[in-house]
Amino acid sequence: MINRNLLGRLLAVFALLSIAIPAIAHHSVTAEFDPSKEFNVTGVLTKILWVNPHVYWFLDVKDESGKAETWSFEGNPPGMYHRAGVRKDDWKIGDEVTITAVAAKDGTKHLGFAKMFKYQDGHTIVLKVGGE
Amino acid sequence: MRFLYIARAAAFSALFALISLPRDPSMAAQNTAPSVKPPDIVQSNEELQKLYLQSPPAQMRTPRASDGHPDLNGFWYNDLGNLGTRDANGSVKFDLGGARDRSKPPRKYPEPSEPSYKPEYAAKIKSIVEGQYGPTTTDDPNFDCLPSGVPRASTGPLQIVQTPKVVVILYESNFVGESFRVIYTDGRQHPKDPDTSYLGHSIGHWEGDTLVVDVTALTDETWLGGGQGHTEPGLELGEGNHQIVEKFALIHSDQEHVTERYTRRGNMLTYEATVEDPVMFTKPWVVTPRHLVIGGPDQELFETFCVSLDKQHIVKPTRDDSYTCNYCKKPSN
Repeated sequence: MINRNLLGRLLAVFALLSIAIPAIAHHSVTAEFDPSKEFNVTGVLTKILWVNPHVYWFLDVKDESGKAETWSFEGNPPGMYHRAGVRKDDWKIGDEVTITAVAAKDGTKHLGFAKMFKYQDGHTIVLKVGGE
Repeated sequence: MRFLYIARAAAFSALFALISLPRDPSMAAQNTAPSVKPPDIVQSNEELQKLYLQSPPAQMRTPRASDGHPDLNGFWYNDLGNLGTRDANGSVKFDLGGARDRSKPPRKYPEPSEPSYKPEYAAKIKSIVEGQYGPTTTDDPNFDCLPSGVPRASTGPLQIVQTPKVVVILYESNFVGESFRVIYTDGRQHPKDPDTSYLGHSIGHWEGDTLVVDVTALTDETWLGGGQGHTEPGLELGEGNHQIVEKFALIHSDQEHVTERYTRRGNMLTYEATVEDPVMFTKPWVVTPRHLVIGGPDQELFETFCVSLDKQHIVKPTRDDSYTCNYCKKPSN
């Protein structure tokens, strides 16, 4: 049988969540990223995957020796952005941008969940989630 | 003098009646909305179904197709309540759930029904549940971009194309890739020995105003629900939609057989399903009815393909890192 204590605890958590944050569960960002580990990185946007389950942006970032390394950044599903009026064309391949993101929990380097894109002309794209 | 008074009163009444006429469907819906506000806590799924039937979209006129059946054609979804804004300098801001009124406590809805598994499948289900980080586990075939199966796929957004001989459902999906089903309503039977597939083989017929669909030949590689759940409409105009997480509606065998019922009432589509699985279930699972609302003229089906890049980075819960909430920072130790 299912562990009733665990089941009870899970039910309690789900019940709490259903009250606190309806309509936003998709997959747990905290199952993949650590919101307390925020970082900034600057590079050139090389590719956008506008796909389910999550949009990905790819950034070429130069290391200390000047060699470019590819970083990837996850976002929300494209349908969520699309229906809120946020467009794939809001990003341009080749743009230099500073990304604020939170780090992967499993320690994977060069991976993050994107929170903000800041451009040299001062404009920003902020991806705000979870009533922060 | 008295005549002038009556004439003036009649003119005012006519003018008032004219400006009071509903100018768009949402106003018409408001006029037919129940005068009693739905309760803050909905006690049961039976009560919830009754409330949905009284909700503004369901109170509107149901259009008919040329053959007299209800017209299911259209784009059906539930708004996720996300907000996008942009400034004059080109800055863009996306706010997940930001279109909802966060000052009001959301209405509390009942949990959906769950299938009843035979005891020999308890260990497998326990293993899946214990490996979930909140609603997330890489055991979920959706993380391999596999189609959601039946009835999991029928949560919207989706487009229905209806003709007298076939009803086609085009699924957008909020998680996996786009997919489609052809439901044959021309009187044919299921093939004698079909291969299984992710969305099975579907034949349908009309019972009154309800399209009844029989689905067989479903592969056991999909799940019945679970994980990220789906979104249901609110009960009032202006209320945010709410999330349903079918947390234990998981595995099934390739003997799964589903009877679906699609009923359009006004601008609301009710999806009902009964799932039989003689291998894994002790009794048929009657899925809690789902509801979709028809999209406005600007709403269109959106292209969704799926590339699985997340799966290898998803963690399982540990004693030191158990799920607390979806995006919140954990308290420091």
